[in-house]
Amino acid sequence: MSKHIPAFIITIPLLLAFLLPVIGRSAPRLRNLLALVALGMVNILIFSLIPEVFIHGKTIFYAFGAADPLMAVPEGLDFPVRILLKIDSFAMILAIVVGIVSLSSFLFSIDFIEEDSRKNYYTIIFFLLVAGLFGMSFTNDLFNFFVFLELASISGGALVSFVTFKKSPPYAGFKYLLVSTLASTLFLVGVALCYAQYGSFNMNYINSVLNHSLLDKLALIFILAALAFKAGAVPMHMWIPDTYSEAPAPITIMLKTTGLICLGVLFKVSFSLFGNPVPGIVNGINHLTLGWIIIILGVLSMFVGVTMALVQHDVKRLMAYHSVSQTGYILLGVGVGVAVYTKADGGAAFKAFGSMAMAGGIFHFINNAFYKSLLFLTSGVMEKRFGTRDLNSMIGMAHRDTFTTVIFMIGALAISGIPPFNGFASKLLIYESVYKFHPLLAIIAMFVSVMTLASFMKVFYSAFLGPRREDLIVDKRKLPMGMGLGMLILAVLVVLLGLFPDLVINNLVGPAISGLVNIR
Amino acid sequence: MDIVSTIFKQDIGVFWYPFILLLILVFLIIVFKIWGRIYFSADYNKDSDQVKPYNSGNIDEVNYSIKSSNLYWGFRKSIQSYFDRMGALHNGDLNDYIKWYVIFMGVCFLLLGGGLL
Repeated sequence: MSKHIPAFIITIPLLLAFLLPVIGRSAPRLRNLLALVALGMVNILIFSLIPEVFIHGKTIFYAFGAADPLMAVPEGLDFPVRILLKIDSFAMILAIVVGIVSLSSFLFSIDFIEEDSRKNYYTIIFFLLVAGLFGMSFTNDLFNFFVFLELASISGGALVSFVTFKKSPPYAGFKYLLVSTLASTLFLVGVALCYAQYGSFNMNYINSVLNHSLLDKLALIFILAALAFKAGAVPMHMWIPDTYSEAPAPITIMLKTTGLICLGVLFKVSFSLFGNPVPGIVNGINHLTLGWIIIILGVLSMFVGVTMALVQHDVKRLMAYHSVSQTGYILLGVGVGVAVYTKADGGAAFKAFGSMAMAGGIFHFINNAFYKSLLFLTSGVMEKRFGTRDLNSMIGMAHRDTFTTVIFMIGALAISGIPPFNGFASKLLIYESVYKFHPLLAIIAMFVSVMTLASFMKVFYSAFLGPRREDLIVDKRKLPMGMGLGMLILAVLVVLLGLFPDLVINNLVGPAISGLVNIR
Repeated sequence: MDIVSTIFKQDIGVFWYPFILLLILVFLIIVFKIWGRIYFSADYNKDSDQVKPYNSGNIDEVNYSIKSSNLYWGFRKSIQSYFDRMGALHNGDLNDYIKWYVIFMGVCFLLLGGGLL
């Protein structure tokens, strides 16, 4: 059974998506319980792969439908033809993030989303989204990635408008669908260009026979732009605040995770698909240029995101802009790694600071998933309490919600890079390494961090401090346990990852970089 | 795993002692609780005016807070033209958003495909 674990991680959410509504028709509580057990089980399955992948350094291949699922290449063929999953250390990091955020999101939504006849639909779409995200994390096949991306995008679009359609037309959901469709269609064009040349969708195979033609460069551009668009990198970020702010809080964090997985696959594409320098080719894909494009996207995202966030008074729009800004840090860290990846110095620059920048970027990827999700969930509590997202109409929440206040403080200090929370550790790695590449980039990153702190001080001052105003509170219930637990899981991880960064960097991030990079 | 070395290890280029940080936090909480009990709780009376926010010169005791949209007014005013421009770009129209996507692809094509750099 253990060799089928990768398949179970994707199929359990997929099967439950159709099973749970049947149970939910007669027993909603049992449906919720089963959903939580299933998500917990999926997390256990993911963690059970950690020793094999991270400690023993193995890469697990899983071929759907093969007589032996671990046989990647069928007999008599030179390359794989089946649906193939590749579970390496980097894919595992993506799956860990999806697993934990999904669990927190569902816990939060048990009480956050109103229990009525439509809740069954919510469960169906939510689990389809989770299955899509796991598929995106594990697949090693470009076309399968497209299929899973579509699954996640259509589910995401439906979930964005799940609540808003009651009071206003579901513009945000429709916008998310249009953006996702455009991105995935152009991604498919890039995939088609690869298939036309090499006759395969498998990333490893394409990487091994890449000839750096103009078509390869075009394919890279189509795929890069599509994934950067979905990840919300500036200047293609404008849809992010429009959709993230309208979606219910537990769904916003799933959308954020979708963007992060696209970002992860963007890095995979930069290294594992197009990162194969062939000696003797003069006009091949220039990784220094590609790295600088990613760095510039990162710097623009950081700066534009944080400056726009500072002037928002809609709490969820503010946090959505911060989401763009934090994506910038990840792009900056990994962009520096890409820029020095193929430098003709035998990997000296990469070893000196490129790998450290990538470690910072990937560690920030994990951290960002947890603290940003935490902050989005607290914004959901704020919205529920005051019945509005406008910070001008909020005050004194700390008197009533001490738990949410502490949780918000943890998230806000982490995103601002204040020790001992996890944001500090990853940002410090990025500052130190990026400084060696170009000092100005590190200075901009530090400036953005200060602006982030200023922005969250504004939220804290406006919503949590001040006199107690019972007349402004719409929802006077005690914070439901599910919502509290959903936030608590993320808060504990934010603190633990901040206190013991070396454990994560040495045991998870380090192997992930080795999985991505192959210095020649 | 050697727990002691994990707790006291100097790693990732900085001095980082999580165990000591936790001890400091616990110590501060204890000090704060004792200090607060001695100096604040002794004369605390929730039925007096001391629980109301002190708001010098402002008669309106309820709506005394500075609104969120007025915070950082000076910063915003000093780069107002930047925010005007950015506000115009974030107009909610998907057609305009897609234009940036096309521009980005064009720039990438010039830099990566055309080899301008």
